[in-house]
Amino acid sequence: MLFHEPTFLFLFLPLTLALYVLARRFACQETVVIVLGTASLIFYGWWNPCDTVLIVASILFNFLLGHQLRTRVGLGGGRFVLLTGGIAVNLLVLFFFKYLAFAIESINMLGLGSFESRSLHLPLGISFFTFLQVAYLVDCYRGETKKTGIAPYFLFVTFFPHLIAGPLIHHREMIPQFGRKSARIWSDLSVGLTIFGIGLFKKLIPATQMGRWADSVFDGAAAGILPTLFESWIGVLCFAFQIYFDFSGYSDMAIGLSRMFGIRMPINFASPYKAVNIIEFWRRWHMTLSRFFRDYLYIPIGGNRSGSARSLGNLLIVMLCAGLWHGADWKFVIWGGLHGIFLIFCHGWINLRRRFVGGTPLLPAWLGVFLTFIVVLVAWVPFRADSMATARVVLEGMLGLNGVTLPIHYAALFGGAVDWLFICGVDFAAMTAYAGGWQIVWLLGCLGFVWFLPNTQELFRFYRPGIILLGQDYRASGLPRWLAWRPNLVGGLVGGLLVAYLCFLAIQGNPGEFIYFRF
Amino acid sequence: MNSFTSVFRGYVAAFLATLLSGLLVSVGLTEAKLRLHVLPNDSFTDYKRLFLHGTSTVAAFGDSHVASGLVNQPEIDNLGQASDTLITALEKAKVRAARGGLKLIILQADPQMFSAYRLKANQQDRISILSRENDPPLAMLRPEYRQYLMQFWWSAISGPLAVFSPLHQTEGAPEVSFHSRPLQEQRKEALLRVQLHAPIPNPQMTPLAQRYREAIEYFLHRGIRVCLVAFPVTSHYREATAGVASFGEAKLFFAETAMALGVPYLDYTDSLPDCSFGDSDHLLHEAADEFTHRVLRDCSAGKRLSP
Repeated sequence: MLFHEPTFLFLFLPLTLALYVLARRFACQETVVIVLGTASLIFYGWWNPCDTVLIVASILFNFLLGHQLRTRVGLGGGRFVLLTGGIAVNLLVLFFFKYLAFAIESINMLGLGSFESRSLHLPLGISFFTFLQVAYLVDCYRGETKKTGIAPYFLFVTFFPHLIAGPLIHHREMIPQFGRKSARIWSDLSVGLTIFGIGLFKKLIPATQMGRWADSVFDGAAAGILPTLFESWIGVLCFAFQIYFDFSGYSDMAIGLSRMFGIRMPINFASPYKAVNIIEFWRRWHMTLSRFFRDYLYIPIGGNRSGSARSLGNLLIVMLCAGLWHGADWKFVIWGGLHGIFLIFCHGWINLRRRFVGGTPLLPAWLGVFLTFIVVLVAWVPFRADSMATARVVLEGMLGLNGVTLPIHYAALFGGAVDWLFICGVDFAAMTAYAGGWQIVWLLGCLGFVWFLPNTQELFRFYRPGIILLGQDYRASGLPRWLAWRPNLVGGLVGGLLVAYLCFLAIQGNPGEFIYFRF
Repeated sequence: MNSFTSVFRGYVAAFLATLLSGLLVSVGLTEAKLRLHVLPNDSFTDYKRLFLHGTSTVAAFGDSHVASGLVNQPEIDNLGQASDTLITALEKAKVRAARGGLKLIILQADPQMFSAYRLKANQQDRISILSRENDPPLAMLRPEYRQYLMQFWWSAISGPLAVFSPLHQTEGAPEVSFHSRPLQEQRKEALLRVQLHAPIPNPQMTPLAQRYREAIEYFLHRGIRVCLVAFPVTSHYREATAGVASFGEAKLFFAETAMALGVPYLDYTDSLPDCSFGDSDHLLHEAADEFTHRVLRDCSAGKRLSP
């Protein structure tokens, strides 16, 4: 039951919303929390009811441990042992389900042994609910949590809008919200429905279309079809847009759904392809994950407190872990490593610039955006490819090492220049990944969207769509007032019609799951 | 109620009202379109009946080349269906063979069965749809229509009144030959088709190739003869394939498989003139009629045509 599937749209969401409205109207806030918690557990159990045993056990374990850490202040070193043990149990469970087979395969691959590996069923959202509870335990140890009941804690972990693919929420920003009744049900519904509709659009239309085209290049490469220069770039661009719209769409849907129930989620996505450098990219892409790694890994291992060389090393460690968090595969480690290297270069560049020319930027902003986009594209190749061999083939294609081919029927367009192009190495042949001029229009449209259009939180800046993170303050957006969203009758009619179309499209099915659903 | 709340309340009311009415109108029109225009002329019911209850001793399996290239006759059940992958075709043939009474299976042996888009197509529900006893209450939810729902929706929504008017019968109208279209258009269409159909390199090394061989052995083991057929295509299509090595590799795979397993391989790729085609690679009905007799005759004779 994904957010764009008919079961969710036509059954789960209306029923849960109706129960929420009734509970909110006729019962106390505790009942509202119990209703939402129960609905969330049903949502989670829909895929595999057995998984609910694991998540409930994990919640009980961490809640009780958090209680001990918070209350046993006089325990001294014993608290640290409790914390370490608690984190170890959480990470061991995660390791067992997600990384054990990978570890065994890696040991076998390195010739250090010959063990039988068996892939285990990966419980949904295990990375998300493990990490947010680890953060809770650490904060209990630090004395940065307040006493909370089991029901709000249960809802904090299971709340269905974030459960399967984030955002990676924080107890400090969520649990207090469960304790108070939102007084603005109509504004919450208006903003939530509209943001959810925007997310549904991103997922069902551009993400699905781009995914088909990206698949044709990467699956073809995996099957042995060498992608030529233009095919490779088209494939990588399509994947870059697919993951952008897929994740941005999911984040919008999560924020919109949550808002319908009067809860504000942290902003998770802030036009990352507009970043002028890779540091800014990570302040705009999966912001809640960046925050988690900053607060619970980068700073604890030393952060930037021990000199610049050590801080760059810490950065690389964090990015390798971030890569591994995305999946038990070396390709994700390489992706994380690439980003780590890019970040190190970027910090080095900024330090050099500060030393020699002060704060004056050496490159125009548009060039920074373009270069950042290119390096992000390169890093997406191992992320998307199903093996390192496929990634190598696509990267070779991007460098033109697999030849330069144009569609056969384009030869007529070039007239007399065909011979000259042929001498230059351009071939006119069948291009299996080329979907005609319409594909170029789509790609240009997507590029325009990600570079020039305001993001969802900027559009909704007058209605506090989400919690501000990592300095991405959407309220400071230069978006003209007349472009910002405001509720009115015409908007409601148009929005309703568009969402009706999208719901109908959802009935047709086959848009595929969310990319971050697998993590 | 203050004005702040009433604005939002109005927005939600308008949003939900248009959402619900939009959905109701869409469902109503699409369902009407399907029931009034599509179902009465749909060949799927006939196809399903033929698949489940057909009694001919010869059956053909494959994609639209088979579906449009052969004509149902008392001696042959054409169970080719547009966009069927090789796996689907083989599975259908197995299901049909298990029912008994089959003496000869005509299996498609065209290179596009190894194209990337076919290899990754997920058609797990194609056979279950055929053996399904009960249909969902709404025709639009039937899997065979649901996958094309937006096309039906667009057709219904762009002419809502036409949905409720009688359908114009096109039966008897002459089919338009591919040959009658401008030369440039013919070439372009053929090139685009070939781009889509280009097989992956070394198709003989794929697991699918192994499944193809195993399926033929399975049929032979059950005493059913097998005939591999490469269907005709236009001259423009053939010209476009000439530059793509994997087309030759796929044809070689089919020929070698036939040779190794001792079954006929009939390559009709260049056997018909362009005037016999409705598009770059699909036969007109009239040509298909004649072609069916020819295939039946050659397969029955165990004739071997070299690639």
